[in-house]
Amino acid sequence: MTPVYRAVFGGYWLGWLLLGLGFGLLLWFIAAWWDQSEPASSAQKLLIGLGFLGVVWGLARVAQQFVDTPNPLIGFTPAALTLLALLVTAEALLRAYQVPPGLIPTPSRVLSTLLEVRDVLLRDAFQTVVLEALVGYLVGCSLGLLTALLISRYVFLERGLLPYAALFSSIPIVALAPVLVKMIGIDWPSKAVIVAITVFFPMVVNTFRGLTEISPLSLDLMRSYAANEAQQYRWLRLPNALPFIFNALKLGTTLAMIGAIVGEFFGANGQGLGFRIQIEAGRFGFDIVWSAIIVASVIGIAWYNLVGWLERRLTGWHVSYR
Amino acid sequence: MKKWSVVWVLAVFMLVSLASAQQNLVKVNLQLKWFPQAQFAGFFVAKERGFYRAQGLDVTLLPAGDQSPIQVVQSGAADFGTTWIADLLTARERGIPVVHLAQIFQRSGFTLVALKSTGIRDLCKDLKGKSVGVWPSGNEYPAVALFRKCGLTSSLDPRVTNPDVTAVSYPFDPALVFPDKVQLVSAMTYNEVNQIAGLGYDETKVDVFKLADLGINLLEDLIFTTERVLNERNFKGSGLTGRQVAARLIRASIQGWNWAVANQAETVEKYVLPFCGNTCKGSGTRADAKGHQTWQMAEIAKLYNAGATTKGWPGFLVPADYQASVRLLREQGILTKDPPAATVDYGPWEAATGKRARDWK
Repeated sequence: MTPVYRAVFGGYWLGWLLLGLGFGLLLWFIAAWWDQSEPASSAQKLLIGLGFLGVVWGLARVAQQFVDTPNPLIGFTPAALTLLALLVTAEALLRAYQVPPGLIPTPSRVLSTLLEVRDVLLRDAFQTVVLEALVGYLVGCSLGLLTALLISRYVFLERGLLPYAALFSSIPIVALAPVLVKMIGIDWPSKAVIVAITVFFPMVVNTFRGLTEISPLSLDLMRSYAANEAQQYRWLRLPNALPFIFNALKLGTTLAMIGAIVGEFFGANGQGLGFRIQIEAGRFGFDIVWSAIIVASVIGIAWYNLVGWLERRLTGWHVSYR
Repeated sequence: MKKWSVVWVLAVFMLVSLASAQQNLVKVNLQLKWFPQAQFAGFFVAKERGFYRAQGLDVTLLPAGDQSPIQVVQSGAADFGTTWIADLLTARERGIPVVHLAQIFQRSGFTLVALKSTGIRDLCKDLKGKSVGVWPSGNEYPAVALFRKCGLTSSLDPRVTNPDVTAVSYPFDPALVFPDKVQLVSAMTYNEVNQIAGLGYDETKVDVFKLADLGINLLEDLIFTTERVLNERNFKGSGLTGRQVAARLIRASIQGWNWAVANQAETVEKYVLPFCGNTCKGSGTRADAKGHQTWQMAEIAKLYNAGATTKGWPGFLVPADYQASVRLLREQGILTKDPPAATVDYGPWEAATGKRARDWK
């Protein structure tokens, strides 16, 4: 059965009908209210509610159709439709209540602004993501890895440093941002330092666990092979730590973006996503603020998934992927 | 025995009436534009000398960090606020229904400061390629207006990829960026100019460019509220309309300002220093709070005692000044259209002063 055939005759036709009607109602209202400057009447607001209900009900009925789809793109359809439904409903409601753009801009306004200012936002993103977040992330993660290696090797370091690493990894380092910006200056290095410190401690703690939580049997095996220290690390400890390291690496991507953006709130040299968000929020340019948030989110998601992809490549042997 | 009971009854009666008088005060929140300092002396005087109370108001003066007072008032966390006109008009254009009620400062105190050694003599000619320190939260507009007037683009403009001027944002303390990171830094005549001097860059080492002298006279501290508050029929259940409360607030505030400006030493001593703590201080060699605030009070008085105030019309927004601010913002593309007439409401000010706006000459 082709999907179209199944959609029509497989019992899903009511769902698709409701979905179409709901979207139709919402889009019709948006089109009718495109140039209006008056709030809509309550009857019209009721129509928006009905349209939303139709979409949700329809979605609930058709979603099952996608449960067994092997193609991930088609499997994503219900989620995409949900997002679309929320955006269209938000657009209709914001227009119906005539919410001023200085408070909440409509999704269509945000999208058109995003297109309009994309060059500047990309330049901002270069500063925030590449110079601040990425540099800080690489430095922080490598230092964290190195520190964990040393701590796992030398007991006095473990006793002396590890408790603090554990302590620091659980406090919000971002609170240090204003201090660091004041200390180091408003240019990008101060934000890179914030990011480096933020990602450092989770890296140390996670890697250390991975390096030391080793099954005694494996260690015994290593000893029976007369493996020296370096060989032990190469063939046992590091591979064992890889899943832990990737955990910290994935956590780090989110922390790095937060650190870089928040750091810019406390002083920036005229560019950066955080700078843009702060300046535009202060002058009620929320269409630009949302555009910057979208750019930051897309990059954040891409980065996280890149690390996730690397993880699957390098730790495919791990029990969680078998 | 009988005499005593009369006394008792009287005493109880007085206590009750006192208590109810306390309760009858209408609670009003006024959002200041910054931390407590002499910039708001008139409001502190009005509160502490009982001018607000005499008008039946219990006013709380809310300090601000670097958030926009308009956002606080719009959210309802404060009923009235003080801010600058460029901030107000741009918010209005973005659909926030704010209303200008009274103009406290009649002259702009915004300056840009540069070291003499940078060789900046003529702002318009020498700005290109320079870094300028600006404050976020709607305080960057005077600088933006200047850039645009000089035909320059800046990094504050989200539609320009290769700006002529780099605007550096920082949390208000000029020591963070000046003079290492920026060649020019924003400074108010009444605050940062003295802080910069305290850091070792006094009049002999820096040039202070007053934007008002360069034709950028965007009016600053004013009292505003939202249409929602103004059109309230029964303000917080007090029986007063929003307009009546606004009129009383303006009347007492002007009274406070007149007193503060006339009694500057006493104002600083009694009504500013006790309320501002750490934020009163200057910087470096001029860190002493009393010295800095005394100096600030004198500078603030110059901004208050100008224009309409000198003609006995304190708090009045001179229509020509307003038009000039609007025209400037429109010419620089900061506003795209004229603000609606409802942006300025002379009603409360007229009720407060007994004058009529149309009698202004």
